Amino acid sequence: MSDTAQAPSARRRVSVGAALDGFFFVLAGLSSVWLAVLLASESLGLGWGLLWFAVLFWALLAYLVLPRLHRILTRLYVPNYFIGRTRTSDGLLGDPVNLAVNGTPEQVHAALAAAGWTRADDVTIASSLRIITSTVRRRSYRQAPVSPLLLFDRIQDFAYQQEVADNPARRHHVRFWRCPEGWMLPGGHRVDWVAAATFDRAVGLSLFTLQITHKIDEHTDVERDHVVASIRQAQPQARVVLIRDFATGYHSRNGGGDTIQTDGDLPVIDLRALPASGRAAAPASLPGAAGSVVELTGLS
Amino acid sequence: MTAPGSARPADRARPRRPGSVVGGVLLMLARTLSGGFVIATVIGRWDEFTATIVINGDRLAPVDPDAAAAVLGWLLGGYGLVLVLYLGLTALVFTGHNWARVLAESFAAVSILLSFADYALNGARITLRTSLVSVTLDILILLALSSTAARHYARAARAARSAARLSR
Repeated sequence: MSDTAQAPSARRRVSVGAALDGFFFVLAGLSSVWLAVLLASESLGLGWGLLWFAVLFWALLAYLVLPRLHRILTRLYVPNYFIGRTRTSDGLLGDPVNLAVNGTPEQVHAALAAAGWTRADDVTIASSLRIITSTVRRRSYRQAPVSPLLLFDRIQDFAYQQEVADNPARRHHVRFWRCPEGWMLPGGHRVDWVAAATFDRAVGLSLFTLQITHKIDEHTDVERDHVVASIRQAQPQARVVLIRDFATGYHSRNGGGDTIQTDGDLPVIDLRALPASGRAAAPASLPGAAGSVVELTGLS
Repeated sequence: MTAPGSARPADRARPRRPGSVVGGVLLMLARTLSGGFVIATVIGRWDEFTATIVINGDRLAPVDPDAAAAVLGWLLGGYGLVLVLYLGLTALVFTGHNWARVLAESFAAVSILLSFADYALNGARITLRTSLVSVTLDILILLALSSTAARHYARAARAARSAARLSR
């Protein structure tokens, strides 16, 4: 934590503040449970108002009570280091990290734009309302925002997507995080970006928070390969290093409770040979010829 | 900050206000409004309320109507002052003052804990007709202001302010 570098008196003040924050955070979680009980018992006394209260009860439970409880509990028992999974804003494990990229931000943006991907809008009140109305009315919204997922304690730096059949409920999408300076993948591979590519197949209820959310297709490899293929088609000089069996054991559920099936391979797309503003030529030491796929396999 | 170039870093340092802070502030406004509604109700039925004032076990209004009105006036004035201060606190929470956020959380927490003690120990019924609305508002205020986004916003706004003070 950066707080530790401050003077002792300031550090003590910060830690009192942090203790108060923690206290209010947990107290709010507990009192929201009590509020749910109060609302439930109040609704028993209402005749026709019951339906209205049931909706209110669900909204309270899904958007306030369960997220807060998950946050309190996951802070206690979910490790915060890289385990190949992103996390939702409630602290639950989210979409799997199944892609990595080397290159400057300009090279990444250029490659994705050339490959037919549209950058997603940031989540604002206006863009959230628009994705709800366009989903309900089945209108196209090509720059629809994607929900925030966290990696390295940060929301994704940007996300790209491809809408399917002009329906905002179904879309290809991939989120990107810039890796911290000097950070390496398990196994010692240095990459600039890691990404999580999944396919939104429908809109449904999250298993863990009961919130309305996109359900993802369980075959995340298909989506990962789609991203790689689209970039390789648009940028034939892009190199790919395929780390075999990077994450074979990570079959599980994402933050919405959808299952995930994967062969565990991690493609690293190398865009450093691409022309980009601010960088003249590619480094000489890139693995493989332009457009090649280099496979890295484990000891066996 | 007159040069256009120097205004930019400050804008970047100033974080965007998260929805939880906006929601929390709206709820605090709702709480103030409900207080204003109480004052309006009392003023609207002044004579009924002065008649209820009891000092040392005796009703005051039949003996000294002016004194009864004065007591009620002072009570209402005091409550009004509290509401105005609370409104000021709401504005400070909105602009990202961390101490204001912590104070607002403390008010909500004390109110919730008192209600809960009344509910758990005295068996007070908390329904729509009694205090369900105010308890709900307090819990929602506490939830909103204690969220991670609200906490980060208050901390970042404080850092931005002290950075602006240093650069001045």
